[in-house]
Amino acid sequence: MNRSVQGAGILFILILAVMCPWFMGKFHIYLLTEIMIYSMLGLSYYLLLGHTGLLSLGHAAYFGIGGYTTALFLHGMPGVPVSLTLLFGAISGLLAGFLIGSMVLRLTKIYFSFATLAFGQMVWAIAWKWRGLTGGDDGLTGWSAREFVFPFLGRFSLTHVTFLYYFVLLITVITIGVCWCFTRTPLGNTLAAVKSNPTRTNFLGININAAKLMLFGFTGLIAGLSGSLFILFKKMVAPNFLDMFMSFDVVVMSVIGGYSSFLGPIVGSFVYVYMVEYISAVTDRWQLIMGVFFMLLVLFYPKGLVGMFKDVLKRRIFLKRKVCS
Amino acid sequence: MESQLSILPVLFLHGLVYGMLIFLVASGLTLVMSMMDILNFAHASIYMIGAFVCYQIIQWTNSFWFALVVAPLVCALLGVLMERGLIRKVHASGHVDELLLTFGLAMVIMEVIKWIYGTNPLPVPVPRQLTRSVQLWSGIQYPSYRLFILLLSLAVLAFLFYILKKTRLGISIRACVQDGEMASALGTNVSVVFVTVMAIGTWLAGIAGVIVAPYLSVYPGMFSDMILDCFAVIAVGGLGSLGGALVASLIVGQVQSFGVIFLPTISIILIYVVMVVVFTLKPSGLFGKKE
Repeated sequence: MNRSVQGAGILFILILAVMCPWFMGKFHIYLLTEIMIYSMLGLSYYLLLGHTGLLSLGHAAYFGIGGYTTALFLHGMPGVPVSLTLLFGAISGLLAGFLIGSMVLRLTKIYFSFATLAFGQMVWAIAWKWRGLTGGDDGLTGWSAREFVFPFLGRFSLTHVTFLYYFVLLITVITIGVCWCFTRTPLGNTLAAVKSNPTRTNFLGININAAKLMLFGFTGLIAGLSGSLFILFKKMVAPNFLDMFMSFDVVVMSVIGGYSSFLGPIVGSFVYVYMVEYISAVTDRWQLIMGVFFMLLVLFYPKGLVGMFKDVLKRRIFLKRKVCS
Repeated sequence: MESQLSILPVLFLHGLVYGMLIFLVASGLTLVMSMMDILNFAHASIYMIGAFVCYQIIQWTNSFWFALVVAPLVCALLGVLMERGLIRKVHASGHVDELLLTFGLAMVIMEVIKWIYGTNPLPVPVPRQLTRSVQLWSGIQYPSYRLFILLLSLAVLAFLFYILKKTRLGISIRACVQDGEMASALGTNVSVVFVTVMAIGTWLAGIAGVIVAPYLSVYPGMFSDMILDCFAVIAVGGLGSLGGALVASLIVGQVQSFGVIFLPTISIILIYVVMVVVFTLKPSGLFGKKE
C-alpha cells in the first residue's frame, strides 16, 4: 500500500466519522463514542505491548486514576470548567505512569506482568476501600447536568450525544496523530530497539530505563485522558473501571485487533464493542464466545484481525503481479 | 484483653492452614514458571476445577474421600492435556503469546464453570468423620477439618520434597529449573520432565481444590482470589525456589489471617503492599535466583 492510498483511506474514514451522526441512530453514535475512547486506551496499551514488548496486566490503573481524578473535580468542585478537569485527569495519569513505571521498569518478562497486575489491584483496592474519597462500591456520580463552555461556540450539555461524539472524535484524532508521531520520534525508535534486543540497545549507550520511564509517563497520560473521557461519557465512576477485568478487556481488545500493529487496538475495540453488543443481545454466554474467539486468535492468528487483513491484501497483490508478468 | 490474646493462636492456625493451601497451588505454578518461563494463568483455574469436580463427585457418590482421590487425578490429566495441546503449540512464538493463551484459557474455563454451575457459592458438606471440634488446650476449640487440611498438606509437602530431593526425577526437575538448555544437552528429556512437572503441579492444585471445597465452599470467584495470592507468593518467594514458595505462602497466609482481624479496612491492600515492597527492594524475590 503506498502513501497516497493510505492518505486517501484515512481521509475517507475521517469524513465518514464526521458524517456518521447524520445517518446513524443515537444508539450507534453512543457505541462509536465508546469505541473511540477504548481505542485511545488501546493505543496507549499498544505503545507498551506492541511497540516496546512489555505485557502489562494493570493498564486499567491509569485509566481509572484519570477517571477518578476528573470525577473528583466534577463531583467536589462545581466551579472548575469541564475541559480543565479533563486536563487534570490526563496529568494524574501521567504522574501515575511515572510513579508505577519507576517501580516496575527494571523488571522483565513475566515479573513485569505480575508486578503491573499487583499495582493495578492495589489501585483498585484503594478506590474500593477509601469510601470517604471515592464513594467505595457506589462510586461517584452527579455531573450529568454539567456543560462544556466554549468561547465562541456556546454551551453544550454532556447529555448531548452528538456533541459528545464530536468532542471525543476530535480528541481521538489528535491522540492517534500524536501516538503515530511518537512512534516515529527518536524515543519511539529507541523503544522499538528495546523490544528487539534490550541488551544490545543498552550496549549502544542508550539508557533503557530512562526511555521506558518516558514511555510509562506517555502511556499513562493517554490512558488517563481516555479514562477522563470515559467517565464523562458514562456519567459515573466506579471501582470496576479500574479492576483487573478492565485491564483484561484492554488485553482482549488489543489481541483481537492484533497487538503488534498500530491499527490493532483501534480495529480491536471496534470489533469488541460491537461483538459484545450483538452477542450479548442473543445469549448470556457472550463472555464464553469472546474467550474462545480470543484463544483461537492467539493459537492460530497471533497477528490479529489487522494482520489477517494485511496478509490477505499482500497475497492478492502478489497474485496480480504474477498474472501481469 | 484476655479474650483478645486468646484468639491469637487461633488466628495463627487459620493463617497456617490458609498458607499451606496457597502453597499447594503456588508450588506447582512456581516450578512450571521457572522451567518454561510461562506465567500460567490457567493454573488457578485447575484448582477451581478441582473444587467443582469434588462438588460434582460428592453429588453423585456422596463420598468426600473418593473425590479426594479422583478429582486431583482429573486435574492432572487436564494439566497434561493443556500442556500438550495448547502451551506447546505457542511455545516457539514467545512468552507474550503463551501468557495470552493461558489467560484466554482461564477466561474460557471460568465462563464454562459459570455456565454449568452458576455464580452462587455451592456448599460442600464437611466429611462426617471431621465435623467435630478438637480441644487444643484449655478453652481453645479448633475445627478438626482445618487440622485435617493442615496435616494433609504437610504430608503432601513432605512427599513433594521427597520426590524433589531423593529421586532421579527430582534431580532432573531441579536441573531443568536451574538451566534447561544445559540439562537438555546432558541428555535429560526436558519435554518429558516438563509434562511431568505440569502433571504434578496440577495434581497438587487439584488436591488444594478438593480440600478447600468444604472449608470455603465452591464458587467461580475462587479463581481470582487464588491467582492473586499465588502471584504474591511467587513475587515474595522468588521464582523456582520451593523453599521460598513455602516461606512466602506462610507469610501470605498470616498476613491474610491477621490483616482481616486487626486492619479490616486495608486488609485487602496489605497483600499488594507486601508484593510491591518486595518487588521494589528485591525484584527476584526473597529466595529467588538472580536474573
